[in-house]
Amino acid sequence: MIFISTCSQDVATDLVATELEPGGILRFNIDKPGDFAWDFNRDGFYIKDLASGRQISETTLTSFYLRKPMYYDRIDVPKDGCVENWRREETDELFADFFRECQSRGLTTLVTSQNNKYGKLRQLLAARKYFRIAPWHFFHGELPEELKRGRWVVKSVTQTPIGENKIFFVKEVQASDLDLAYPWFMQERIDGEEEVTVVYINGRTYAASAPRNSFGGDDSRKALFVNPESWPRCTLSSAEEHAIKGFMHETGYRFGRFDFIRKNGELWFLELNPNGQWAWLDEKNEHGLVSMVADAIKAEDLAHRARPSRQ
Amino acid sequence: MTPNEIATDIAGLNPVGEGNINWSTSPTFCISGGQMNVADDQRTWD
Repeated sequence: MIFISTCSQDVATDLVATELEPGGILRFNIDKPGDFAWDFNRDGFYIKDLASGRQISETTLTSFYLRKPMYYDRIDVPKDGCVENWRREETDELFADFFRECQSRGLTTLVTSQNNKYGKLRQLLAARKYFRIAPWHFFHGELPEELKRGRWVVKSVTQTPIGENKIFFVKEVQASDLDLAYPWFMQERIDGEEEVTVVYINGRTYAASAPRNSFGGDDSRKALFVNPESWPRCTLSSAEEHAIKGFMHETGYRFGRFDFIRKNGELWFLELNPNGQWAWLDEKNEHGLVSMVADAIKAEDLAHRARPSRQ
Repeated sequence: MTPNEIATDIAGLNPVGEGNINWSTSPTFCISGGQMNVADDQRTWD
């Protein structure tokens, strides 16, 4: 049985679940603890869906698919904490540790935790071998000389809430206007023809693109707030496929969604999201993306089941 | 400029739950959805 750790709002899991064996999964929504019972102890564990009575245990779990175990409703945590935050932290840590245990047993599928994680800085360094990359700086305290000329966009390394309903989107600013008391990440603006995103699924790729002028600003996510629409599928050259596979091989990820800009026909690397959202690219599975993900999960689960220790 | 002055107020763009966007599949899900983005960049998983 495949254990899927996610939240109740995760439609991508709804879609993938339709492609998996009925009864062959247990979906755990971390934001709905009242729907589940669990017990982890020295002899094993079980996690039970209270509504259906279905449960997964030490003997029935064959794979762990990590989706989005997160809370959709934000809470204000007082300085001295609160019981709801305590409940969330306790649950998060238990299931994060459960995920790590499953990974150590080789049971995770597609999405893995990297002991040797590649964050934004390491991605940019590793990607130099494979893609074009615009000049970039992570800086603090002093303005790098290169930033005094040209057009640059500011980005954030994390997606930490900034308060006041604000999100840090990619935005073009004058570097000289920045308050150097804060840490900054800037990259030279790339005036390309289109934004390209590529979902990498254990050796296979699914690419889609949108003209840059279709979303006006520097950050396509902002446009998706205002005018949601899926991006049409596009093709990659064999050299681009090779570069993507090389980057994934080097970083050790088996799944991820790349963001690129295509300029003068070439792919310029922006980032890899190791567990990035992908279902918005093909919500009706008209191009087979949902099936590609589900097939990869099924193949890995089959391999897990076939291990001698499980027979 | 501070980070606060650069960030975008999303409340006025298209509040969560309104419009026809499927929030839970879109790349905005992680940043609009609650207090964290743990699964997206795996901060809590390593």
